[in-house]
Amino acid sequence: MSAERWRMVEKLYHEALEVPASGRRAFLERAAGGDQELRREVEALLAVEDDTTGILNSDAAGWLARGQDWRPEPGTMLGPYRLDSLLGFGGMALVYRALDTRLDRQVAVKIVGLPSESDEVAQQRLLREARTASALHHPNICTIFDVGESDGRVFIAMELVNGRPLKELIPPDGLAAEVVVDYAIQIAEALDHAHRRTVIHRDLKSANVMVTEEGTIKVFDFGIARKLNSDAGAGRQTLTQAGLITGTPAYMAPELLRGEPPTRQTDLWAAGVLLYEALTGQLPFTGPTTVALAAAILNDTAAPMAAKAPPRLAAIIRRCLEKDPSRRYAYAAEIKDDLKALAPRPALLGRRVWITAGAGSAAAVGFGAWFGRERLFSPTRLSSGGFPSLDAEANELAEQAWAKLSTHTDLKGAFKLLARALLLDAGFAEARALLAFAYFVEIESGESNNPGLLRLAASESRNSIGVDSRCARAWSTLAAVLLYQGRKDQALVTARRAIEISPKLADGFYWLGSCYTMDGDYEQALSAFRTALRASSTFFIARIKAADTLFRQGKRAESFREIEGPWFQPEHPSIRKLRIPDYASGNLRDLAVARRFFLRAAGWKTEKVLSTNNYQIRLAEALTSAAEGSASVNLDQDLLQYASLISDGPLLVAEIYATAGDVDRALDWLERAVRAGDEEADWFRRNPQLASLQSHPRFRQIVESIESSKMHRGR
Amino acid sequence: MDTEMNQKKDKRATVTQLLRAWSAGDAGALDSLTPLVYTEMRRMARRYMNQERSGHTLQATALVHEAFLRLADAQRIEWQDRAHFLAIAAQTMRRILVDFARSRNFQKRGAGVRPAPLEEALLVSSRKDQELTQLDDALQALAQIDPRKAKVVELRFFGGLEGKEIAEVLGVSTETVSRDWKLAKAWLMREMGGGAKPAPGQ
Repeated sequence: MSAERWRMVEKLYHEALEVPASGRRAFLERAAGGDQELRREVEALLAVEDDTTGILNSDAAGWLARGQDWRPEPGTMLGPYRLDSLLGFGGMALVYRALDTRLDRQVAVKIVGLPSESDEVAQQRLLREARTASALHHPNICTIFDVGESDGRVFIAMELVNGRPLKELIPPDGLAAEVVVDYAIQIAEALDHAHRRTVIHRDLKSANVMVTEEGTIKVFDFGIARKLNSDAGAGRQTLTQAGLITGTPAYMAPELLRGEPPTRQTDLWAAGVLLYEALTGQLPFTGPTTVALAAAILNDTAAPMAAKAPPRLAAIIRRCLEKDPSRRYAYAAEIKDDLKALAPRPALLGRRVWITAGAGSAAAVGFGAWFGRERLFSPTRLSSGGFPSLDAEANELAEQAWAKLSTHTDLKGAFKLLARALLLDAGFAEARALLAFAYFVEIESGESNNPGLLRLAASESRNSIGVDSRCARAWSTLAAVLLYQGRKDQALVTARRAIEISPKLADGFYWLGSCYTMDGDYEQALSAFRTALRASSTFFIARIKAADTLFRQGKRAESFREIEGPWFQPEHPSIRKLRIPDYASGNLRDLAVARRFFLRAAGWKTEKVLSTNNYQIRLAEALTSAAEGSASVNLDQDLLQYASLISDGPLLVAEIYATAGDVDRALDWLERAVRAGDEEADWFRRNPQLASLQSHPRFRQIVESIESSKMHRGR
Repeated sequence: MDTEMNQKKDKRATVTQLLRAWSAGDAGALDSLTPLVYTEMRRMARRYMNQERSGHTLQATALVHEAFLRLADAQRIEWQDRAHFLAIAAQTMRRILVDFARSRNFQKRGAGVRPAPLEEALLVSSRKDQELTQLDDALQALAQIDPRKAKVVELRFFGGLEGKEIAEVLGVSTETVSRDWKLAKAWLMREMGGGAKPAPGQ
């Protein structure tokens, strides 16, 4: 064909395309001007069916990867597995629902690769890899049951997961931050588990993460992961390999693009990309072409995450996306810890969360946003941290009760709700533990001085444990009660039990720390409070306790820094009501300042404080007014009975009397404190409020008895 | 280690220079450049093969782009030079793939020549081998009547380049590229017999 003729063909072809199909023939008859051969040539080109599966409908890469020449029919046996329906296929694998005929168990069978006479060696490698991955057993990793070959085809039998890929669940503007954190923790746990076994994933992406109906994450395709060290000498990882695996380099770390081998850090980068994607609905790095994308990954900074992104979550994601691997997290476990520190699990959003949306702090904004979003799935855990009942209504009642209980807003209402929940499901351990906790909170919050409540709390905790020995909240509540009852050693063991069961339960660490404080072991105490804060960064009381512990260690400046953070809102009602005594007595120690703070926070005049029934507030008032040299120290029998019920009450009363100059009563209560388990001999010596007691022989006797007792017990 | 690093740097500098010379009109630069690219891509493919993976075909696009990242200084190179590089790489990819497909077809007919390990990495089914060689034949025919359209196909199919990149390489508008592609595709499909239909279900 001459060049000139070809140009005519081309011209007519494009012109004809502009004409509606029905009019093309007429158009071409006219335009070809009698040149029948030209017309036929153009018509033939126009008639080529634009089928969507031919070689030219992708690039060579896509075309070569499209390899399912072979697709077994349902019913085909592969080893002991009878294939059922095809669940999915990709460029390199077919996935079937199948039945393990030996165990009569439903599994998923992934048939990897194409049969070929020439890739036996490669198949052997694959088998080895899959076997490595099959050593991973974790609730957040899709378990590999079996790896085998049949008729030269490698297959992997694995856990059948009913769920959807995370990729499909991400709406255009991203998931709620609460949900992202929940998923992220689970993903980090999966990676941590694998990394500890020197397995790296190498292909983490939203399409490889499944979310079950219960909201459990299952990370897939560790089958292509390999041992970290086993082939260190086998040459460098290439873009090709990873590109082949991922199909898209959007998750590839910069160092991978530079040809460096995959490491834990490349997994953590991919996790960062995935979390960014989940939170914003967008990939952090994009480009119209692979090269542009690679350049963006190498050089660009990801666009800031949307305003709704909680700053601390955004910071975690940014750290994963550090270009320099050494500036990323070193271990997945660290991400997990950081995430847990801001975990918005409503369990920790309750009683301890006094910050509400609009309170002005960065954290508040994030949590406010979380509150406003719906949950995608019914939780695998209640927001109080425990396991749900099978009865949906009982769960709902327990959730409502926890909301009241945790904010101290309506304790009576909480009791009623829990009673109804237990009526619906008497074996609902978590509701029973919450009931126990409700009894305890009535004391803790200063609402009652009835010692019977502690006994009820103890017996309901034990009942809950009797129903389900793995109910962590029951153990932690029991620990609290034991500590209040002066049985510190038992409390310590019990708190440890709670933590063993649920390392996420901030309360467990809180009570463990409280035990250590009374032991005078401030390092351990501080560590426990910090862990509690990591589990729940807005666990205000734990922060007060951490500050208090620092103060007792003599680290005054650090203590103030801990307590006076930007988040601190003295006007907040829950601080007003609850922790003024802590603040006044435990942290400032400058009682004149504490008094001003206290009255300001309470917003009350002294008379009004005196008329309140809340024992915590009255203790605070008593301490600060003693410091002012007030003539009357208002410690009536009711208040003293209350002080004797709470673990730090006797020492507080001793401080009040000592400050007021009533040495004998102060020493009586100090002895009482020691009997209740307070063994902070060193702190008694340095406590400024107890200064007036120092020279008294009884004081020395008390302190020495603690020291000899401790020595006797080897502490 | 240092020596290796320096060699890599040298190679990048050379490639970058050659690319500049080529896009500045020095046709001879292409002659020096092509073997460099070819060698590197074969080396990469071989190393890929030596490592692992089974049953998967080598991703040509990824290889092309990796070759670029390895050979050229991605951060300093001009966009246009980059496009030119991709054009060479696409051409190289075509050569590697088609040579292999032909050798396999040949082997199947009983010549008994075993392909080199590299080619095994590019392993495809025999039907695909045939389709690929058909496409190559058709492309050669197209190049006879309209070299630019053949180039568009080569860049798009073998290099995985997008319209914008192709336009840059060929110095035409993206509109032209898309028109070229449309006609070339129809022409090639007709030439190959209405487009080789894959097995049902694909």
